[in-house]
Amino acid sequence: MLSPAARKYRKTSFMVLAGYLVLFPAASYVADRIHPTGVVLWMLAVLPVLPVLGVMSLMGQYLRDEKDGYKRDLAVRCLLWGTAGMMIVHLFSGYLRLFGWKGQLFPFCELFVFGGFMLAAKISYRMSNRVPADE
Amino acid sequence: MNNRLRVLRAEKGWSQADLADRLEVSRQSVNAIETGKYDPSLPLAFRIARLFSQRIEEIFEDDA
Repeated sequence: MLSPAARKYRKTSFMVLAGYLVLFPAASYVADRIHPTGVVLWMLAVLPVLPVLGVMSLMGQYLRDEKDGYKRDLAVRCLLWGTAGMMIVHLFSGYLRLFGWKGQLFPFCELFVFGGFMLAAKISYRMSNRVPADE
Repeated sequence: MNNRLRVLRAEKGWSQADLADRLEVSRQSVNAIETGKYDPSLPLAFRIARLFSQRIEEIFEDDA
């Protein structure tokens, strides 16, 4: 069962991510049409990042509002696993390039790995802390 | 950290869900504390102690 803080986080983060679904295609469309350079290019690239920053801010708010210490502990652990996965991919791609690889990983690879590691950690914790039938 | 939470809860005839409601935490939290997978915060330990009218050290026992 979701705590009030988790319910609020889920609701608001869906709304913020819906903003991403608007901003990313819009920025992409403008970039394709006007082929921006300089400051305009930078500003266009920043636009789709804003919702992601919003979700991070909401996660911080959730951690502050969550009264259940155990759930907060699990959320922090999952975030750490996600961050670890992201760092592994980042370092790995850095070393690949350092050792002469000319290619590049697909865009937002680190972000997908972050989400994947978080999800895997959440499933793993949920399975290892399975709650038995109530006595 | 060892604790007597399961015993105290059984003495009252409460389920984990009953205790979770009284402590205003999730049932997962109660289960994790009872199985020693999670040590409660100090405020939660005080709430548990107040609920069972005992001192914290009578419920929780340090491993050391």
